[in-house]
Amino acid sequence: MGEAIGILVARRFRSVPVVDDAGKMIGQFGVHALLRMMVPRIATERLGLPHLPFVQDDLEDLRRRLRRFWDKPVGEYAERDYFVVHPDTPLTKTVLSLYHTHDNLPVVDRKTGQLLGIISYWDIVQRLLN
Amino acid sequence: MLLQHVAVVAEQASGAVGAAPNAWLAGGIFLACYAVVMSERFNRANVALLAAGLMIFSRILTQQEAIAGIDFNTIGLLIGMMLIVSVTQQTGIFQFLAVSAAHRARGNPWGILLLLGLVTAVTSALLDNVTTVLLIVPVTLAITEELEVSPYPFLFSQILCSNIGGAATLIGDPPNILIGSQVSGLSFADFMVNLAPAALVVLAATFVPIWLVWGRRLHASAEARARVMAFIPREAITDPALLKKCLIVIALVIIGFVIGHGRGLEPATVALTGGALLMLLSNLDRKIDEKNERVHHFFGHVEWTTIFFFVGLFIVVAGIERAGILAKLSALIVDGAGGDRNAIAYAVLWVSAIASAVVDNIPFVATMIPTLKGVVAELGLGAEEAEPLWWSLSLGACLGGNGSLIGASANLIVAGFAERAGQPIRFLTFLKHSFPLMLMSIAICHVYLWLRYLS
Repeated sequence: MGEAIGILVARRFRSVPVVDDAGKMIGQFGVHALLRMMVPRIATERLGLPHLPFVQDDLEDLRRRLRRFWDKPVGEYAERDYFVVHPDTPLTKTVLSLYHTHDNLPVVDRKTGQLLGIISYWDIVQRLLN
Repeated sequence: MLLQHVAVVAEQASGAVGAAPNAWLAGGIFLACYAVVMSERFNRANVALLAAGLMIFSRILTQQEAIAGIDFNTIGLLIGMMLIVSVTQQTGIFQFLAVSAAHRARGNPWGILLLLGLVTAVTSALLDNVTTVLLIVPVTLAITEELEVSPYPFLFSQILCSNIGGAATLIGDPPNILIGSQVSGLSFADFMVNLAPAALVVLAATFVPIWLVWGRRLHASAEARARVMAFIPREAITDPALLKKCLIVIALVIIGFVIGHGRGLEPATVALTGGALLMLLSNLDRKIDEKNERVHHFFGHVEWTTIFFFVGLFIVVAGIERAGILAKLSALIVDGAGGDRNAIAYAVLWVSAIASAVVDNIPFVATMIPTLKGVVAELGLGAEEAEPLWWSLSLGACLGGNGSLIGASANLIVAGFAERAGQPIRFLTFLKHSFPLMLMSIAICHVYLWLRYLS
């Protein structure tokens, strides 16, 4: 987990794909999951306490919560609900997915689930400008 | 057991009651409805409404008879209380109570478990149990996470406390709402006077095994306790002005429950009027569009599936009553007990408890009420002599819900929270802990009934 967080912070990615040993995509880990780890778990659960007005945390409290996950494998906390595109996904559909997710999109082989790469909105904009 | 009785009685009723040739059909629809609800493979409101429709389509009941079978006092009371809760939960009062309890216990885990259990019991006595646990359990999980202790004993005790607290008042638990609404002569005060003492004794006794099994081993570090003490309870109150209005209306509603009986004011009238008044007060200084939107939102929080489950169930029970099945069941109970009221009261207590641990206690009680009315008529009991039977049914059905994880809706709600919190409650583990405690509580009630009414 610590390594994945390091990649997110160093490269300023919103999320990164998580793959298994065979390179098959199994989830996505990003700032959304990272922020969730910093607050009490019940704040982000369904029917939980979305505001927690009575909790007065300082930086050390956030760090303490995050530290609990530091040595855990990232696959355990990767989000399973994510958008992907395939090499044959039409361009308009891809642009719409980028529009809805505000994030880079993993490109995945339709048959094997192998991660082939990542496409960002900058990739498309740069190709347009060139 | 009840199902076997109904089958036997349906057979007798179809032969013996000439005026009710539909006894087999009515019994069949009832049993099928019961079985499908128990299977939990379909939505229970859906099943009950379909079964109610079949009672009318098969001409066991006319539409007028079906409508007459619906107890609008129960329906009105449920909707009124749900509206009041819908407004009140916006104030943060329940989070305030839970966080204050943790403060009062100075962050000590056992003290917090005890006080949160008491908060749950008292709140359950005034609101329905599902609402109570929906409000208290999330705060409990926030507290146990900061304390770095297992939430299981906390959640376990809150399940038990919600069902025990619910048994104490007319409005605390659906079985009591049904009994209080359908049995004439039983007031809000009667429920308090007769059931609250039993609930209090059971509550106190329940904490003894909980302390022995978990409480004495619960420890939290000084640092963890300090984190809980850093919570600020008053910050949980998000709308102090609305809270004042809520407290005033809730006080008026409770006064209405107490003094309304005997003045023609049934609980449904009091609760619905209270709900309407509170919605009005909560919207006074808003524009009409916003008022409409908020009232729509409050009505959206009414659990309509529960309401329609009751509607369907009332019609199904009216069907088997019309077919003569319940009258025969009453006669069978009276014969079986040799006409001894006390034996019937004890049997009702234990059978209700065991049945409520394995099946939904709402249809069970809805069926038992007309059956016991028949028993009262067969025995020729006056209202006062009949009372112990109603208290037996109430205590058995409410506390029986503690017997297993599926014994009451609130139990399943807590289990859902535990699962999402990464601490799932296993059915068998819970059963191992809860069933003996449920039996203990029923044994206490047995002694209570004997001492107070049946000796």
